[in-house]
Amino acid sequence: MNEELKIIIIIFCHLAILLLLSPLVNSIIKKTKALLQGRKGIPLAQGYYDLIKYFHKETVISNQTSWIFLITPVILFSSILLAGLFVPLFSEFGSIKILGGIIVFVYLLGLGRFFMSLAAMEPGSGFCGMASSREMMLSVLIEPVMLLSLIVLSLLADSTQIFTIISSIARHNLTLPSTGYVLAIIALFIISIAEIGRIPFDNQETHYELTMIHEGMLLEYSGKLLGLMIWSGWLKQLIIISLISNLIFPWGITNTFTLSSILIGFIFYILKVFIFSIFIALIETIIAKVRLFRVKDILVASFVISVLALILIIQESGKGSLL
Amino acid sequence: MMGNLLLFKFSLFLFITGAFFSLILGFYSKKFSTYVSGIFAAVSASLSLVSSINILLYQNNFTIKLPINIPLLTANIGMDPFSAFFIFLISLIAIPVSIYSIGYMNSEPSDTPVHILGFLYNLFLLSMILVVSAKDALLFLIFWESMTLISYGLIVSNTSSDESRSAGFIYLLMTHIGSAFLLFLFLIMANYSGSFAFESFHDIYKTIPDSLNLLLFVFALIGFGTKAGLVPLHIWLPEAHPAAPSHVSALMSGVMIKTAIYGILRITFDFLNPASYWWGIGLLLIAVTTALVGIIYASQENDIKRLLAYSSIENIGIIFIPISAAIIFYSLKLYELAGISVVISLFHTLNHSIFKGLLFMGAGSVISVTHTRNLIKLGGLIKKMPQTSLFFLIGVLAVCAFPPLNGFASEWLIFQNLLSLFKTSSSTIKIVAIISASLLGLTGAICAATFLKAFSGIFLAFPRTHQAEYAHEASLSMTFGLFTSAALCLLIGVLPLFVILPICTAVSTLMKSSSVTPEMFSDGNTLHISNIIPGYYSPVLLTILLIVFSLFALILPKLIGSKTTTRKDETWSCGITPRAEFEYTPSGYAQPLEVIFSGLHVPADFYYKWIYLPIYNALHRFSHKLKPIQSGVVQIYLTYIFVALVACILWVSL
Repeated sequence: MNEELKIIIIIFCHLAILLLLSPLVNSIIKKTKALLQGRKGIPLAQGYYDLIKYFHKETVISNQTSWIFLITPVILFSSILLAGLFVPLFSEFGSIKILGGIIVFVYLLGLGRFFMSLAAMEPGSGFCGMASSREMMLSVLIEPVMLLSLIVLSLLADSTQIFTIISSIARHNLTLPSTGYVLAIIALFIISIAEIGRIPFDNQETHYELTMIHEGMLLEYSGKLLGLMIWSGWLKQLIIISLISNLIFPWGITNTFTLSSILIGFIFYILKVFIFSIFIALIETIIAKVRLFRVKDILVASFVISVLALILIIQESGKGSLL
Repeated sequence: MMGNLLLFKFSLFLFITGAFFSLILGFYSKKFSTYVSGIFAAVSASLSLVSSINILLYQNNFTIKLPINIPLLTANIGMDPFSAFFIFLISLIAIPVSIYSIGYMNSEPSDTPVHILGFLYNLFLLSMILVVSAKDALLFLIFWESMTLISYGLIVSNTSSDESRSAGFIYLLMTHIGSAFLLFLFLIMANYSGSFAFESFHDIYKTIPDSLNLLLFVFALIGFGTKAGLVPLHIWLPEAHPAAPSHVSALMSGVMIKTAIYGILRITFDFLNPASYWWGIGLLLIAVTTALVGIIYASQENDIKRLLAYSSIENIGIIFIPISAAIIFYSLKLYELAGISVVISLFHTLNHSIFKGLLFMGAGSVISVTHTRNLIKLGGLIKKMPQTSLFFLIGVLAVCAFPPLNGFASEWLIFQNLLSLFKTSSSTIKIVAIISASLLGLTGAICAATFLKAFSGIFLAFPRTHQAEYAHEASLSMTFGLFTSAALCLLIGVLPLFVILPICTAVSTLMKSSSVTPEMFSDGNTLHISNIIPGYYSPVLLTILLIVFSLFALILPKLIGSKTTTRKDETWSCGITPRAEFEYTPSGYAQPLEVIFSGLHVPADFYYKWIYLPIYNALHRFSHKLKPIQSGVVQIYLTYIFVALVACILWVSL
């Protein structure tokens, strides 16, 4: 089988896994939370039921909206799905080198967020506007730290491709655990929780309009459009979880194209994602949501951690400069 | 090639003809005068565009000797590829803006001095082209001053309001401080080279002492930084740009401040020699501060044109980031990387010109139909002005640097450039560079929030006033100007290498020691700078995949779900009929940012109070001390002259 065909097959699997697994991962987080709180919780397939229900419902949209409101779910979905191609899941084959690295990844997520916040301003509802404004405030805090911590990791690996970063960490860091790497991962972890809108930054379960951020922007959506928006949110959650869990535990990603190695890679991946989802549920259960303007303090702390990581990496690399 | 020279001369001639025709015809018919001014400007800009492309591709440099005879002045103008790039940039923006100006000026109130504006507009374009093609320092200063004075005329002749008069005054004052430094700079250089011709300035650093080298660089930075709007010399920009008519603002923000980039690059890399990388680090800190301060002020602004002016300050900061990197590389003798950095800065210069021109024109369209610049008084225009809103959105996406638009292509390269600084051996450079990269990300995120506020404030939800409610689409020539710029944003975003190619030629002539080739930027159709931390960005592939995935997202719900209906209804607002008062206003939208950045967002008069007022007071006290010698008696002045004469004779004879 030639190389291109292999890559195409893996990319299709990659996309299929992202699309199919994302509702399940969300349900796992919800279910774990419920169990930890002593409730019975939803069935694990609830995410799929929800999506199917949304896609069968009538769409009601606001009088005030224009074409931006209609194209936003499509742009959000496609930009997030495309960002998903940047992150390795179970195989190194899915890497499209020329597509871009961390910077394109961060800006693609930004593009989706921009359109979501823009569409939230369309109906002229106070709640949507408030959510949109807060989302942009969070993004102002998240994006520079996310960039910095990813750049620090890419300096370690001497590449801005997430695939290469993860595989080179897998190869080298077993023998050389570096403090800079650990700190960068911690910063990235804090940022990831903020990026997927989880406690302590945003509460996805809230139904109180004044505290909603992500949910608030979806208030005026319904039917098929709402389904796409919600699915995009879950996709982004899975992509970020895959990124961070593969960075923390970079082993088990297959680099050969045999059925058995792909199966092993897949099992490793599923395990990583599930463990991480349960971990997120645990955090959500034991930590309370912080006040909106206190969010800044946590994110600034993670910025400082990234800067520390940067300085440590420069120290560790020492005089061994490349020029 | 003679044809090219003729083309250029003819375009200069047409600018002058257009200026005087529109002035004279304006006395008979204002409408006719606007058409003449716009069409002449567009045609002459196209001619100079063709001529500059010719030079960029085939490098047929030429010089023209102007028929002026002044001692010390070698009245030469001419084009080498570096000048040609800036003429390319000026003409490229001038064409859509000139076409736009026809519709814009026709929709202005009848007491507008259309013919004077048309006259000055043509001369303004001419002066900018002459500034970048001057081959002599004195000539350069003459054109530089004319450019300033003509744009001053454009700022104040529009209205008789106090606001634009005071804006004009601040503009004139600041740019003259800048010009004074440039005059010093050129006088010192001419003192060492013995001539004012730019030719004699090449490699002048070999003859001047090192300390003077730095002083000259600082002079150039102050002189050109004032025009460009580096913090804290930026204070005139948010005053002057909004006061001018919108198509002139588009030129001032899009093009005029870029002549300062031309100047600083010419001085730094053609004449001087960046001796220490500390020059670069210092400039990098100024650049990042400029970008951050600019965008934080923009985020709190509710006047759309002031917002855009502040965003120009931000982008000037971003343009100076790769220039600083170039200085660092140059001082470390990494000439190839220095060349690459300059190419990146010029690429962002071009992109900023295009999208800022587009945004100013879009804002102008909105202002001309609603007669307000206040975001709070607008809203809901997307239904009234569908085309304008679409093109404005493209400009917004470009300025926020979202893929696959042109702003992202250049910002991506700037990130790569900052990462490449990590390959130097100094820890200071590494730390400053990487933190700058993160702050660039911060700027980008604030920029997105700012322009989201601006776009939603103007175009989305309910109209908040009658002006906004009864708006209509702008005229055809205006939307055409917007369309051209928006198309350029998309085109350059998807195919950036077509533009990088001529920029490489331009930079290779500027920096003799580094020859930059387009191959350094590409790997096939992918952007990729070869000898730094490997990163790739393929705009074509990204665009194709975005389209494919969007189609998939369109089909997917229909595949899974059933055929459903779509119904329109009221926005949910707790059971009350929704009204404009319920929506989030632009100032409310930006409030969280204000809370976060309360430390950085100092009141705008901070710069007056802490920088300009102390200087003013010191000058005032000093001149007060000099008062006793100014008695006003003629005999005493004659004595002064006599004493001075004797002193001079003594000094010469000793």
